[in-house]
Amino acid sequence: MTILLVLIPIGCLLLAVAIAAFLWAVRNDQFEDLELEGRRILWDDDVPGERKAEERRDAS
Amino acid sequence: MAMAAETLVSVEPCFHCGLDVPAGSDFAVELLGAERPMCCVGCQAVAEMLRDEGLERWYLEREAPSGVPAQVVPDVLDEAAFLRLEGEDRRFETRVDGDRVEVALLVEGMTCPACAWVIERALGTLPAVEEARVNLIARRVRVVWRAGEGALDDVVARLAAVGFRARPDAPGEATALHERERRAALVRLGIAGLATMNVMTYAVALYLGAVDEMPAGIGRFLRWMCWLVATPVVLVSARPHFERAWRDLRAGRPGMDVPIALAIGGAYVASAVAVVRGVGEVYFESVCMFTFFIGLGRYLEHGVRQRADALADRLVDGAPALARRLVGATPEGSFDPASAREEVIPANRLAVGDRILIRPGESIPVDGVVRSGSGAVEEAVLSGEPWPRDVACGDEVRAGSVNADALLEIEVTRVAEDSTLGVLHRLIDRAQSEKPAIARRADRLGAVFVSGVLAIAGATAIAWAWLDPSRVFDVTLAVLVATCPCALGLATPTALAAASEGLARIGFVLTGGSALESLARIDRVVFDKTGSLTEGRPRIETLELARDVSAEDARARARALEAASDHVLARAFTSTDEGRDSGVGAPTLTELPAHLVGDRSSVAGAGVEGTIDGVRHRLGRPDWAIAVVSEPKPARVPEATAHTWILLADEEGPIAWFGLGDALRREAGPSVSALAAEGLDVEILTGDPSRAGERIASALGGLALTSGVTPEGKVDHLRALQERGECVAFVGDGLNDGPVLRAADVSVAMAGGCDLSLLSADALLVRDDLSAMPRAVRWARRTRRVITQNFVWAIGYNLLVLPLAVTGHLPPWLAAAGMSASSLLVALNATRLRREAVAA
Repeated sequence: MTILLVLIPIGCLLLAVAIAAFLWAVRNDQFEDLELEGRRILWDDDVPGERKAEERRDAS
Repeated sequence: MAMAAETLVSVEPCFHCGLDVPAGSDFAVELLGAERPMCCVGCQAVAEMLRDEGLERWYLEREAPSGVPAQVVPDVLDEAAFLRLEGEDRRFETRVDGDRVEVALLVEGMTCPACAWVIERALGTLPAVEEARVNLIARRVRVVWRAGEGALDDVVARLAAVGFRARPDAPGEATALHERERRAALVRLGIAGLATMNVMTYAVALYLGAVDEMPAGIGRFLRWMCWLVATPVVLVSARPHFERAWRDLRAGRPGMDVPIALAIGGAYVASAVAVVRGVGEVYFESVCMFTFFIGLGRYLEHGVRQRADALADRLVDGAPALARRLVGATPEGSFDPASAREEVIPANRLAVGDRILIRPGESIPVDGVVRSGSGAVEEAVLSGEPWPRDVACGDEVRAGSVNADALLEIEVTRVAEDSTLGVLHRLIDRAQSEKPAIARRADRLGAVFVSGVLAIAGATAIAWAWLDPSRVFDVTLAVLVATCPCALGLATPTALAAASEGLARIGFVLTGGSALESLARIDRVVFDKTGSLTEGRPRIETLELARDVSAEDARARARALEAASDHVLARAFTSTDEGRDSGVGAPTLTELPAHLVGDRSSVAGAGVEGTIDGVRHRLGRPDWAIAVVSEPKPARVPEATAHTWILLADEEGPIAWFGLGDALRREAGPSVSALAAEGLDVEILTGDPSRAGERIASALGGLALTSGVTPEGKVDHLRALQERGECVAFVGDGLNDGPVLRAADVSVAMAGGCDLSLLSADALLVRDDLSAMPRAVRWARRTRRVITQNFVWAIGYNLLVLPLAVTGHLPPWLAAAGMSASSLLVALNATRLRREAVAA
């Protein structure tokens, strides 16, 4: 039972970390658009950055 | 009739924008393995661009066509006047660091994730662009680029090239404030949720420990931890309740927040005392759960409303109207084309006496007098009339009207506040202040309930102080928690939030808090004819031949004459849907004999003139057109069954009369009968004095009609209905509908209407689809049933447990558990609405 004296403070620490992560997420617009972000991962093919790099290589 | 006519039109719509393809055009693009028709060169260019960029898949994945024809890129850049703003007016662009520039653009035409995909991909391939991120809900794209390698023009041109129009996103004060509030509410809710989960685990351990044996030291430790974790919930998440309760108490009218704050504060303080003293119950888990559930309900409710508010805010303030001011006048005050140049400034910086240029298609930002140019202005927004008014040098034009077809130079006579638009805006404001009777009633009811709760709690405390002083706190707390209007508070907002979400999916967006409740009670739907039942564009309704020619021949000549004209009425002749549901029959394009027109000219305010087969023809206003006849006789105008008669004549005399009218929306008929099937009276109220209204009323199965009503008359009409005890919904679209929209119990605006009518409406039909209206009414009624169930449960439960709590038979922890279960039940009952929404 005394292990609780260690585990519960660790749990509280994790809670603090979770709240900090949540605050970070809210401040960084992670909750702005919940519909699109879920779909974004389904957009396969090329990443715009890579494609641009290729174009630059082609141009040079 | 409308249904039958629809099948007559065999021509496929534009594959890009979904609008009808005009007669005689042959734009097409090979897409997805087949030749697809396009309505114009703009759509064609966009479709080709998308295909060549490998973005063709958009056509498969998008949810609906844009409904707005694309424009060719040079036109877009020309019209995007904000690109030429300078200095402090260019606030929408921010320099991030070094040479990186960031801008937020509102994108018109973006409707689904597929659009977002195209936009991010298309902008991503621009060499200068570092990042392009779409926010679909806000219809916004944030672009960061290196200023050295490109400019905003490139970004806007690129967006135009793939079919989207952009304007700067400069959120108004109110939106920014809402945004901050929403974030703060989300943070509070998150903290409450995370902390509740932890406190609940400790609480469960404590409950179980009370049954099984638990070492006393562990028990005390768990209580201290409960206190520690619950503290941020009370201090941060529950703070708004304390603030509002304090404000309410000072104002002397207790609201829902007073007992909430008392229960949270009281339970927290009592628990803390119990922890320190080491005896007595702790209620930290109840405090956290309570705060979280109330917060969740309010967050859902606010989220829906703020989203709609922000939308309206952006419509009005987000895009400041711009004007092209002429500078460089000659000393005499006239403008020499050689020395004058134009500058783009925000319209609110215009002064009386300034000269501004209005290009075709632009709206006029201020009241003024035409100084040069002549053409037609559309005043649909102001008067509700779809018919353009002809103006020439010296005529007055009013703010909010749209320049239809010619370049106009205007001298500003009244600006902003004093202009017609400003006056109407104030009228709407005044009407708005008369509205919130329902809200006040709800507040009063809440105050009565809350006063009752407080009185009972007080009486209980006094009674127990006399009976058994040691149990005063215990019992009073149980009463406060058990009778807490928590479930009652959740009953409405959760149901409303669930219903709003479902409604938004069918294109019915609620902007007023009480719209849904009122919608469930309506007995009558009043349509404003203009725009709400009709499409708001002219169309040939009847054709009377004045001489022995075929109808097809007359039609073809008229079409040939109007082919190059971009006058509003010309669209009636050149569009393919002429004759739809008019009974004249819709000839297919190939049957029409072709005519070659020579020597064509158009006369503003009169019509067009040209030579067909060597004979001069005129098409236009009867008195003007008849003048082409070598020996003119007064023309016999057919009866006034149509709105406007247009005469086609050649040198020998009149050929045919075209009766123009406004086309009925395709879904108008089924929607009206669906509303009638719900047991609602439907009627039409129109400002148009002509007989066109009668025709529409009879086409819709003989609806009651009142025509020729002024805006004040409309308000009086609604008031008269309301005095008879009816609850009236008004569907309109024009700016002149603003005061009427406010007077109605529920007002619905078509999103295709003007910005201001959207603002004053309780609900918007965002997809411009009337069929959402009967569905919304059904939905509102179902929502009302759920709300009633919730109320009955919440009040019933409270009344049931109240005697137990008052008599001291209900320990506070049981009161809290019961209260939470009751709230959960209410919330779950409300989510049924959402599930049904998905199923429907």
